Amino acid sequence: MKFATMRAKMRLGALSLVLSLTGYSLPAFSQDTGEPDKAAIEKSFPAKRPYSPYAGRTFPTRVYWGDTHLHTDLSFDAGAAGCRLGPSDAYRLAKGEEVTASSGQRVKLSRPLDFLVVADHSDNMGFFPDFLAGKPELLADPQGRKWYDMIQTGKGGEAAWEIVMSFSQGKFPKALEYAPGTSGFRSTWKAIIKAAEEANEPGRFTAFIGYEWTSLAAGNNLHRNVIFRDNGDKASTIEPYTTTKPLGSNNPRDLWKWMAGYEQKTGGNVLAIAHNGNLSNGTMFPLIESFNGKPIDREYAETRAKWERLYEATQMKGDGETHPFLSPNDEFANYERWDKGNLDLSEAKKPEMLEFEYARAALRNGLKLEQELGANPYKFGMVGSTDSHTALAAVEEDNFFGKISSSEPSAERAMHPFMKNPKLGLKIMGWETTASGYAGVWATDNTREALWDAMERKETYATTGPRMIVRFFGGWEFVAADANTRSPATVGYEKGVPMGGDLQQLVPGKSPTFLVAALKDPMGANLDRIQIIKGWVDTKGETHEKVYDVAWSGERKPDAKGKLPSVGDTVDVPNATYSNTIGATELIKVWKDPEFDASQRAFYYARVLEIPTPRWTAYDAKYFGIKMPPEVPMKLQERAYTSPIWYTPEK
Amino acid sequence: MKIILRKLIREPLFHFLLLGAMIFLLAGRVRSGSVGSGDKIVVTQSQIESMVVGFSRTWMRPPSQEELQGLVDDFVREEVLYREAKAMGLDQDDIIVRRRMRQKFEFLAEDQAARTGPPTDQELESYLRQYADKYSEEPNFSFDHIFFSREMRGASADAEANAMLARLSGKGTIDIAKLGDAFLLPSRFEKTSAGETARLFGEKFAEDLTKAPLGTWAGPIESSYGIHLVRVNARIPEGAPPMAKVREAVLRDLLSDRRKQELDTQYEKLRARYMVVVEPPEAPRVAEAR
Repeated sequence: MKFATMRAKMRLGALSLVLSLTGYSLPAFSQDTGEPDKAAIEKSFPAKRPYSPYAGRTFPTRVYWGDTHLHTDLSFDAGAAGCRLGPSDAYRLAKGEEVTASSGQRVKLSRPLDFLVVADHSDNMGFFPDFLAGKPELLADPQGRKWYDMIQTGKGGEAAWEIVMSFSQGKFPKALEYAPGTSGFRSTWKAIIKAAEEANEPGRFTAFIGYEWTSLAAGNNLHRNVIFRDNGDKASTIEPYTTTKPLGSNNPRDLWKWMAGYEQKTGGNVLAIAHNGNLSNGTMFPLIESFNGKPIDREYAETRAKWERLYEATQMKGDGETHPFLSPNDEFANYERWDKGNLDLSEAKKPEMLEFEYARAALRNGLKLEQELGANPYKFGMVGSTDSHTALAAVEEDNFFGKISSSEPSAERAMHPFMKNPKLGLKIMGWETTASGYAGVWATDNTREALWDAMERKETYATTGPRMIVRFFGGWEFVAADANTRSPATVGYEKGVPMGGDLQQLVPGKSPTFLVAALKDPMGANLDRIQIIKGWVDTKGETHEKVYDVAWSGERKPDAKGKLPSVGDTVDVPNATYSNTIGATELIKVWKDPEFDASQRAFYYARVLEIPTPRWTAYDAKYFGIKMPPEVPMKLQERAYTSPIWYTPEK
Repeated sequence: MKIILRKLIREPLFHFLLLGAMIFLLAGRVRSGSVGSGDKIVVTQSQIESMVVGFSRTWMRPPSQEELQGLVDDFVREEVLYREAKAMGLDQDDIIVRRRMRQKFEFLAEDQAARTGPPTDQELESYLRQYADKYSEEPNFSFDHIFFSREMRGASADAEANAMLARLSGKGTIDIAKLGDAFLLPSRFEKTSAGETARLFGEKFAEDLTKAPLGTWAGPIESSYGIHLVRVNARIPEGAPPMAKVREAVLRDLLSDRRKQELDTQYEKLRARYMVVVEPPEAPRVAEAR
């Protein structure tokens, strides 16, 4: 109930704000409060701000950094791969303390995070610590015994692979399962909640209660991270939803039902973040549902948009913004791509799958579906997260602690295969792992409630690891001078909607304008450029995309074809260093869509690029004194993706 | 790790194994090969009871007669095999057994620590004094700042900032909201810790802020982004918090320290009974990081 009211309030608030600013008269519509009176409404919005620029200011003034997707030893595959740290260790590292990693190395973040979601796998949650402690029931099973012996004899990586494989193929031994209703599962969930409650310090650090619903249909990754707005009193009245029948299901529709049931039962709030779809082999953003073979219907579209507010656009298993095959005209599209197969490499990737697993293509298809169905299932905001299975949210290039515990820093990790399937001739090498990413959340306070509400309204952005500050506002009235005001955010909120918001044209004949700004990571590299990516759907139902360079460092001039020259490169690979002698510390610009067609649905999001910096493989090579083979990339241009702002024509 | 330990303590099976081990010890060491002539296995009433309880907890109902018989049979089977396995030395060099035994020993030692009773107020106070650093609150600032971009203003940025400082120090009111260059961070910060300030502006900026005068405009000082005029409106220095505010944390840390100490003292005592010889490896195998 509270949920619905809040949303309605937000919508009404945004609408009134736009109306009061544009001076547009309110269309007659009936509502519970009776016919609105224009004068009365205008009166409630003062014409002038109070003298004090700080009074009455309720918009978010700072971005909070966190990870929405971290595994600990309670995740069965993490445990199998050597993770020995639990949720409380994960929180300690996130809060800036030094901890000892599972490999025995000391590790600390360059600076603390503001929030963390420990999101362990729903299925078999807590299995591993018990397994490792040699709980006899688990060792009694022949398969369990075999895995146990593999781990004891130092073949943990292989055991992990087999465990993930058997689970993703639905062949995990029944006798070993930790399922809802069992005491092992129950006590694990309680322990997760307890660790979060202990670590949560409102105002200073937020420890969300959450888990990862681990849907794998024949090895295709459809995971969702489920995040609670509530405290333990509500979250402990349920047990996480799993994927094994009869208690659970692999179909996201069933997860949404479960989420609705939770809210109904407890009066609480919960949202889901879809896992990077790049290993879903074309099933993360379907046009045809893989579970029933039918085209997406309106109910699917509405329900998905309601529960899946955000999308994990980048993480350690590759970046999921777009793919060169989908965006041939985007010179930065080929970034940390994992396109060999699905999660367990049991099926090779085909090019036609790509459209249904990358963020940008999904945003495009969302517009098309909305045109057909009246609802957009893929109207999501962006976050980045780690998906680390080490309990360590450590993804800076010079402080990368790997995807799994057996790939914590070592001279061998880059050249050790992460996954392989000899039958199909597929192999993903350790060096392909991506040191990415974090979630930036524009919230009014560092609490479960404030951060969750910001996620719900999609005022978030993804980064591949650095903590650059990014603002993105859309409206109809931005002018070039707005980029020079002392506090661009104030103008942004006054004249427009922030990232994650919606635009509707109230004055015909105008084109949308955007205020976009980025400030470099105070400890990181300078900025190369800000781009705005536009996607739209035409009257024939065809979708399109275009990348615009909007702001850039230095005196560069686009060439005749409109291509901006490269920012340059200061990376010294052998020494794993770079210098901030190129690029900009801050970029701010107002941009107007030069090709706007008011009849076409569209979305816009900003992409911010850093200057080239050494990749983690360069830091590894330097530290361990090893030589990487020529195919290993040694530098990269880290980036941020904001949540989109959508334009929807009237009728 | 703690979660596993706590779960282990609650685990009926763990109590079970403990009991089994005691029975084994009591039953003596006399062994013989002939049928029914040697060791006795007694399944006591209380053991049966705990089987019933364990069963009920899993299945949410008591076992039937048949099921109970099954539990007892299984217990006997386990007992026989356990004794035989132990006699054959199968427990030796087994990582699970070794780890379990070590854990059990450590539980006992921790129990010992818990028996000394809760710490007194005096003990808590002296602990807080001893580790004051750990609990002390970071210094924090409330400040306004005006940003000058070196990229936009080039070499004249410093001179322009200084000129602005002179104006601000003069008479008359100036709307500071319009001064300086566009900047993405707020222009006013309230009660922001030194660490937070360093994370947002860079270490040097936070350090300079601790030295800036109170209540007047000063600077320019340098951040990761450019230069700033600053006015520190309030500054709360580092300090040890009162006991009332941190009592829970102190208690938790003190108890955890006690447990660790107890474990270590016990270990040291036991360790002293042994002479340890570590054979040198044939060739150096420890990888050295460069």
